[in-house]
Amino acid sequence: MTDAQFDPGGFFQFDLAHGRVRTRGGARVLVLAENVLAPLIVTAVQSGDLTAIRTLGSQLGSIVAQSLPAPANSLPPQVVISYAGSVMSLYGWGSLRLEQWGGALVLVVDGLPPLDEDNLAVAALLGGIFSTLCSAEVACVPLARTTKYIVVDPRIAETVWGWSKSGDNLATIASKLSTAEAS
Amino acid sequence: MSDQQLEQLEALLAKVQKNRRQDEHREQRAGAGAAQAAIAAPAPTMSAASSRHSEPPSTSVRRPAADQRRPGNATAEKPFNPPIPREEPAAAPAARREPAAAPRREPAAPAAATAASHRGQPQRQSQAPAAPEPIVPRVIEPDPPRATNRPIAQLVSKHVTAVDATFGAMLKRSLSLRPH
Repeated sequence: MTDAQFDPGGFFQFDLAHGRVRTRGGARVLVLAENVLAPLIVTAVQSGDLTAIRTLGSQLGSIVAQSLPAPANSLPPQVVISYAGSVMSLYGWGSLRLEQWGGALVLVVDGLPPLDEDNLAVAALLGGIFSTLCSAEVACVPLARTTKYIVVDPRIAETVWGWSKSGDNLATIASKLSTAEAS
Repeated sequence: MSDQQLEQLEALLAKVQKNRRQDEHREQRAGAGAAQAAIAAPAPTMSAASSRHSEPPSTSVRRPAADQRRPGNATAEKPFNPPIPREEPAAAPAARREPAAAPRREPAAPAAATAASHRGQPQRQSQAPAAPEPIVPRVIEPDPPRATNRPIAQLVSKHVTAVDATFGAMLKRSLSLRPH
């Protein structure tokens, strides 16, 4: 296991003379209050277009990938989650943890302000982060009434989402899934 | 006298003789019982004395009766044994335990035996009222089960979780999951 950790020092550069805030990579960002961002997110969810939030996730994923000492797929899960969590917390998107339920990866995001009711915005953000980070299309399906998101293939995301909406808990959902070689 | 009256007289005579013989047997048997009691008299005293040291009183009371039943101790009464039980069948069982004739002729031995039996009786009487104490069942009920929000058992996966070394392998496994 590597000792590498994400270094948050000097990540944001505040150019007060010109009124600009930039990240370490040079991208310009805006600082928003959560009670301003939340209605915007709710509007995006209602219109069914979460592209902007997924794009934000992709940008965060790029920052994580550039910070990692090696490609994410070749690193231990602890290192990847540590870096991804550090970047998310820098942007104010809560704290990130990783769980494994059987063969399923489950991401847990705590400390978020209330956004949309079904947590679809955070699901889109996480999908953008890990799709970019791992160079694979990833869907993070929110589990109802929790702060957990199960990482699945986008082709079965709708089915899993339906199970969650119908009241299945994480254990039940995990038991309904099996790897292709096992089934 | 007629022949019929003669026959009645002879029958009467025979009955009287028979009764007389039975009386003689009875007396002889009583004498043999006294002799047996005289032989057996030291035994209860000894057993009663020894019972104070080693045996419980109840066993010392039974021992004289057992000695009387032994044929070796009363060789003199052997000839009288066959006719006696038929005459007094009801008294026979009692005579085995407490010889009725012995106390009349030999009061010392029964006195010792009675004393021994009296020593045993108070214990029986004192035990008797203490024994039947009513049994009250003690009910021990378990604590009510603690309420929990989580299910007691959860099936997480039907398959053994593979330990993946890299995040890429874990992600690949998660993405390969399909509904079954």
